[in-house]
Amino acid sequence: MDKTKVVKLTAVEEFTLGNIVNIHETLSSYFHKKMNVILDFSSNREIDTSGFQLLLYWKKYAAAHKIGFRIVNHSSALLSTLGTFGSVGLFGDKVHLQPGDREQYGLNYGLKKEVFS
Amino acid sequence: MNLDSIRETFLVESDEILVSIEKALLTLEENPSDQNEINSLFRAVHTLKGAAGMFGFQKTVDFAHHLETWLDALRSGDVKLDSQKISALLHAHDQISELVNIEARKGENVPPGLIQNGQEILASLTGDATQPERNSDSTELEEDEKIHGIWKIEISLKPDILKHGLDPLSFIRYLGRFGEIRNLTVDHSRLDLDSFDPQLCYLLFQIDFEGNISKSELLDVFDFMLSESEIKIEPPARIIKNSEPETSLLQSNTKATVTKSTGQENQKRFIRIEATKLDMLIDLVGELVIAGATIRQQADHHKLGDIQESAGAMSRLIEDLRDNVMSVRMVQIGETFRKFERIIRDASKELNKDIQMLIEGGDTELDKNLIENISDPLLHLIRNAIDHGIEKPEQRLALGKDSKATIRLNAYHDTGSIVIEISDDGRGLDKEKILQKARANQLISTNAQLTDHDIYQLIFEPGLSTAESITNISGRGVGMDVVRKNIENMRGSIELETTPQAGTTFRIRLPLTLAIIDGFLVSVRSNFYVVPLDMVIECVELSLNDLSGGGDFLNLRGEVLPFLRLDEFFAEESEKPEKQSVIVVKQGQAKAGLVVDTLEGESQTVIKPLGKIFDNLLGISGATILGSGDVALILDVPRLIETAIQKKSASNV
Repeated sequence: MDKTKVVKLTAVEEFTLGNIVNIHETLSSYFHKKMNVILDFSSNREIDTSGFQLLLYWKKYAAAHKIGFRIVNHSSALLSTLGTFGSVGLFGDKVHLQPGDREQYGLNYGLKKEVFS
Repeated sequence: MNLDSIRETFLVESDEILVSIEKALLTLEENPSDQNEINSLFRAVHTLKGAAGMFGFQKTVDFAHHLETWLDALRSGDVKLDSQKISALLHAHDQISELVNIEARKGENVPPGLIQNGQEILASLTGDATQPERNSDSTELEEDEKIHGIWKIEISLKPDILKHGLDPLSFIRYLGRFGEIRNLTVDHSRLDLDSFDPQLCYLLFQIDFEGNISKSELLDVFDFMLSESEIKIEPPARIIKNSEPETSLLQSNTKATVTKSTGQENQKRFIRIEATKLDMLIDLVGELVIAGATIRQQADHHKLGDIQESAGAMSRLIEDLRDNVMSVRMVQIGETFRKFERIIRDASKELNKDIQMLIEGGDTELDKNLIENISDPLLHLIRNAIDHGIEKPEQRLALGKDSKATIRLNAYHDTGSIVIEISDDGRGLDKEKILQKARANQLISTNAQLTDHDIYQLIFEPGLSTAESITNISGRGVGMDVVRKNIENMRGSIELETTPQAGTTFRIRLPLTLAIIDGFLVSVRSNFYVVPLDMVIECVELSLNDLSGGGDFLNLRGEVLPFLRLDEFFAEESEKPEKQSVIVVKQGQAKAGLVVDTLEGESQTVIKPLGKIFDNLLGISGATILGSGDVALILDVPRLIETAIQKKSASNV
């Protein structure tokens, strides 16, 4: 990752359908400039299918365009969503788990790292 | 839990589902490719099947299952709808209705003839003349029997699902409550990098789910998503079949029911209440109104200032309570209107007429009891319109009309009443035929001179039908008199407007409610009367001289107003007071004055029906009990206005 072109963004509390167009536009503005993006989810409280799909889209986009896109400080909501959708491995970000987190977030499948095709 | 009450709930819900099935079919008849209606039709049959299965109404389940299979093929586009299929589906609707009636309502065995009928209907849908009766031990196992193992579920989401407020994530999480999601793979191959709209959904999910569950229960989990997704469920290899006792089945079904109601509550927060409980509540509020009035009157009488104030506050609260309780009993008339759609469709097909139905004001609310009672008169008027009013398409074309006729049902509020209009654009009433028939039946003398209005009113006389042939639809010479009587029993009235070759409109006017009204209390000598406040326009105080001019009408700011002296009308013999008042009342376009002795003021009026012996009492529609314990009679204002107008016309002559 070219560290001179990195932007760290903070995910909003509600990463959901109501905000999804705005979030998409914000992310577009950086990705289209080929900026590497670090998205901090520590402030996030809620994420729905549209939020998950958006992250998936930009992960796929970043992989295709060889741009760095990392998600850090996963919120409980995000962990739970990734757990349900079995996508921790697909997203490929480092997740710091506390004892009992695996059970709490249902991280039972989809943990093996995958590569976007 | 009381199974009878659950069964009762099933009956009510199945009636509602059947109405929605019929509505969907009639919409599909107009637009056979309406995917939303196809989906809602499938869901309705699926839900009804599941509910029937819960009670073991096997024949209903069997038939619904086959129907559901065909509808599934329809959803997938494997079969197409045409008018024959719609007719077959309408017969299928009737078949389910009859099966529910026999199995659930009567608790009887389904006769072989009805099962045969079902097979014929299914055969006409599938085109297979040898449609087998479903073996309840085979296919049903796949649908309703619990199987423990790993189920493969494939969910393909439609693009608009998110926009429609559905979040697949929550359904998948909910699925986890019934067992364990062993694996979930997100298929994002449709996620195109060059054309992505973040509000649309591009995902597919493949789920390995382990649980002790049936296919129908799994479908129930995704019930609200069914129209927004394609869901394929592959059952596990049947190694361990669930053989738990029936109680477990009930528990799981109860769970499924809870699921559904939770979903429904999210959409609209309704609860179902037995109508008798509501009626009892209204009765109690009625008694409270009377008791409140008594306290207020006692406080006034004894000049108890503090209590007067408290009684006033209590009266206001009682009034609010009354309004709220009454509003609970109000139901929209649209549902009743829509029931006629099928009747119009079937009747027009039988008579080879092309008729469309238009509904306006379907959200107009009416007291539940009135809705129940108005259904039959409306049906009669609609049948008459189809049969006598509307011409055959070729006749209409010859007259320069559109070959497709229209029956319009409209409802609206007007001066404290609900008005329901039934209009058609048919040939209108035939004045000459009515006269001939009335003379033949000796309803009028051969040389009677009648106005057009009087002639048309003759159709409400017993035994008068101008139909030349009797059909299944109408025309047996009984009806319009019964229609009028039924409406009058509800304190309503019916009037008609007709134009030759242009059509007829029947206008039914009903009171807003049958139970409690705002009234205006008046007295004539020692007797009290209540006038429904909605009908009162103004009150005018007049001296005896003002009223003693010629004729029964007065000049009210330049307007000629017919009036009726209530003391004379009700044969009060004691001496008139020096001053009397006139209450100006109105119904529709008709206005009249009622001469009374004293204006007592507004009063909440709990309507108590009069006994049968008072059925023919002119000018009185009910009674009420005042706070003092006195009885006041509620005036039948429409009838009194009519009388006042007739008296004025007579004095003109």
